[in-house]
Amino acid sequence: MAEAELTGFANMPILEVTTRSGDRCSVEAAEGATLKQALMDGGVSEILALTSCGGYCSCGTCHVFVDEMSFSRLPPVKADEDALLDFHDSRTPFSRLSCQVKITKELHGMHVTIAPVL
Amino acid sequence: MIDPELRKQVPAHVRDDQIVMYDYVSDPRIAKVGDVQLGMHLLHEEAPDVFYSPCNGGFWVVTRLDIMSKILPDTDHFSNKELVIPRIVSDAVMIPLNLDPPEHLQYRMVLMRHFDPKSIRAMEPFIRAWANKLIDKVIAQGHCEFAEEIGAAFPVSVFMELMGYPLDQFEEFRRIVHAFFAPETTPEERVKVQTKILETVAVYFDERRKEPRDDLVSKLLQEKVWDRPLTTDELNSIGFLLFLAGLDTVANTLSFTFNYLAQDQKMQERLGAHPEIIPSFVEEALRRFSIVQQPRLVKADVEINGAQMKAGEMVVCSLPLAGMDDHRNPMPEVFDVDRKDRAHLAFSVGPHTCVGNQLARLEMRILTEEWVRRIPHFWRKAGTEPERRIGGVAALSKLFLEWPKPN
Repeated sequence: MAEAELTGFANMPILEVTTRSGDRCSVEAAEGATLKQALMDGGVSEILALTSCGGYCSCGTCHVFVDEMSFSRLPPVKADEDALLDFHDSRTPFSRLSCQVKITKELHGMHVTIAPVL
Repeated sequence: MIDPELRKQVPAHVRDDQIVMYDYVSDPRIAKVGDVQLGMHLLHEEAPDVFYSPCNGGFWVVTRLDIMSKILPDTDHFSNKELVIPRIVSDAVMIPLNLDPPEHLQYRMVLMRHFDPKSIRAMEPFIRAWANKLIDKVIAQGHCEFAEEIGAAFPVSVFMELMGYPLDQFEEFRRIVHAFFAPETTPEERVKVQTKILETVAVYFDERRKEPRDDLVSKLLQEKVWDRPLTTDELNSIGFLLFLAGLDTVANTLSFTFNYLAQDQKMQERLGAHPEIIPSFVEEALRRFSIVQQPRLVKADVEINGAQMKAGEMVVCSLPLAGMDDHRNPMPEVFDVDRKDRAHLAFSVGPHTCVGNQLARLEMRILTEEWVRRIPHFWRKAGTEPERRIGGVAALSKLFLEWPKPN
C-alpha cells in the first residue's frame, strides 16, 4: 500500500511498453481504464487492429505479454479470454488480452510487450 | 406542429421534437439525392442525433458514430434477439447473431476458428483465382452488368466453394437471397424463404455427415460448444446465418464501390499506378458506402441522449450514418483515400462485430487489385442509372459498366 500512497492521485501508473518493432516507451495509464485504452491513449496505436471488436473480448486481436511479476498481480484470466488467447501460436504463460486488464495503482512499472499479429 | 394523427401513433414518452419521419425500407431522401448514404446523411441536418420514426411500426434511430459505439456493444440494455424492422416475431434464430452473452461467445468461437486471420490469409489464392475467372468471362465483350456478374458472383462463388456447396446451385442460391432481402417480400413470404434456406443448409450437413470433405460444412460438423458437438438445429441455424451474411453484404458493398470508381477516372489511374493504396481504398469504400442498418431490441429501459427508450422498443443503428457522421469524418461526402483518422462501423462493433470482416476486406482488396490490373479504364454506360434500395442491407443493382475491348 505504501507504494500506492506514494504515487498519490496526481501520479498515474506508468507502464513500460515494448512495441512489435522492439521500440520501448513509457505510457501513463489512467486508473480504471483498460490496458488497451491506456496503450492507445499513450500512442501505441498498433494495439488497435483494424479488425478489433472494440474491446469486448470477442476478437482476440489485442494480445500482449506482461512481465511475470505484474502478471501475478492481475485478476485471473476468465474462460472467454482464455479461449480467445488459444488462437495465438505465440501465447505464453504471461499472455493477456489487453482489453480485459483494468489499470490499477499496483500495476505501476508493469512491462507490456505487444504480441505479434495473429 | 406535429400532425395530431401522427402524434397518436407515437408512444407518449417520445417528445414532439424527437419525431422525424424516416422510412426504413424506402426513404424518399434516397431518391431525392440519388445516393443511399448521402440521402441518409440528410438526417444529420434534419433530425436530432437520436430520433423516433413512426414509420414501419415505429423505431428509434441513432445517427452518430459515438452513440452507436455505446449502444451496439451494450448487451445489458440492447438485445440481438430480434433484428427485423418492423419487429416480427419469428422463431428462426440465427446463431450466433441473435444470441446475447454469455451463451453467444461459445458459438462465435466456432466461427472464429474458421474466419481468423490465418485461415483467411490461406484462402487468398483461391479467392484471387475466382476474381480472375469472373473477369475472364466478361473482359472480351467490353461491358458487363457489374452487380450480378461480378459484385454478387464473386463473393457468392467464394462462399459456396468455402462451404462446399455445389456451384451449379449458384442461381438458386442467389434467387433465395434476393427473395429474402427484397423490400417487397411480405413477412409471411419471408418466413417461407427462411424455411427454404434452413432446408437447403440441412441437406448439405446431412450429406457431409455421411461423407466428410475438406470444406466448412464438414468442419462445422466437428465443432464443439461447452465440449459437446453442435446439435442439428444449431448447425442449421449457423448455416442459415452464413447463407445470408456471406451472400449479400460483400456483393452490395462491391457494387456501391465500383459504381463510384467507374465515375472517378483519376482514382482508377491512381490505383493502377499505386496498387499499394488499395487497402486504404477498401477502408474508405467501407466508410463511404456502409450498407447495413443494425436494429437492436431494447431489453431494459434506458436513456440515450435524452431519448427514453423502453423495453420492447426497437432501435436502429444505421451504420451508413456512422461513416457519414461529419462529427467524426469531416466532409464525409468526399471519397478520400488519404483521409486521416478515418472511422466507420461498416462491420458494427462489440461482441457481434462481423466475424467475416477479414474475409470481406480480403475479397474487396483482391477484386479491386485484379480489376484495375486487367481493366484499368472503365466507365458507367451512358444513359444508365443503377437502382438503389435500402432496408436491413442497402443494395445497388443494374450497374452497367463499359471498357475498351481488348485487341
